[in-house]
Amino acid sequence: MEIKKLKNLPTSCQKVAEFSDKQQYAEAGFWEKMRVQIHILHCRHCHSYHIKNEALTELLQKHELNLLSKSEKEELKAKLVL
Amino acid sequence: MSKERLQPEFWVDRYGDYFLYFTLSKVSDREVAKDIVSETFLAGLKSKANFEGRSTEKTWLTSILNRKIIDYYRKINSKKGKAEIKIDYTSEDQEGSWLEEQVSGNQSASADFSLENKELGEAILACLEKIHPKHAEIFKMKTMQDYDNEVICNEMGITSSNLWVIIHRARTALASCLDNSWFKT
Repeated sequence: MEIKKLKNLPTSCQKVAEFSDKQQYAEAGFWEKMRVQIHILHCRHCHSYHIKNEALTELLQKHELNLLSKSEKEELKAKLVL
Repeated sequence: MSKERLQPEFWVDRYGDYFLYFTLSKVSDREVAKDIVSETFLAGLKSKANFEGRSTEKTWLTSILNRKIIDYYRKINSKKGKAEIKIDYTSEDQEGSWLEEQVSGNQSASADFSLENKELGEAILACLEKIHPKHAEIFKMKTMQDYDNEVICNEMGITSSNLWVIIHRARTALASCLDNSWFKT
């Protein structure tokens, strides 16, 4: 459920989605985590989003992808002289 | 059906990560893999007049990449000495088989690269190709390359709240794509 699709839902759901995302990067504070936990007890939409979000994090952590950094991409582009 | 057109200006952004990932599953050294990817793009650029548009740009480049990986193994084969490398291949006419084996699945170079991991990685990268390029780039920087929020915001010219909105959209799109491609298989 995207934030834009949450427009018809209470603002608290939009906030909870943001806190849930932050939680995936360990950037949510104590009260933000509490707010997510309390909110998902009674909100089906946010509960489902939070569960999916955690599953995605777990999947991404299971598989560390070795990607090109921005500078490596610039280097490659320079070699192609585009 | 319209024919595919080459767009070399987007190659690095579109296929750079996937090609590096693909090459790393055949060659264990990251620097070597990077060189092979770079050579692939250069070869593609040189022979772009030969592209007939019957396959996708990605398929065409992947076939060049495969040839470059075979060339790499040919080169190290001639450097190291045939007896050392082709221990299981005794006759000359089996050389092709050895090279094919290296390219289709190099067990010794990347033993820890399990099939499931490879497929999962490919599914993630394929899904990232489907989402908005800027969102995908920001998502990769944040999730896979551990850049600080401040660095991402500066480099991509976005605000901190924009960052979280983009991350949210990318995560939602990725989850739904993986739901179809990975979890259902």
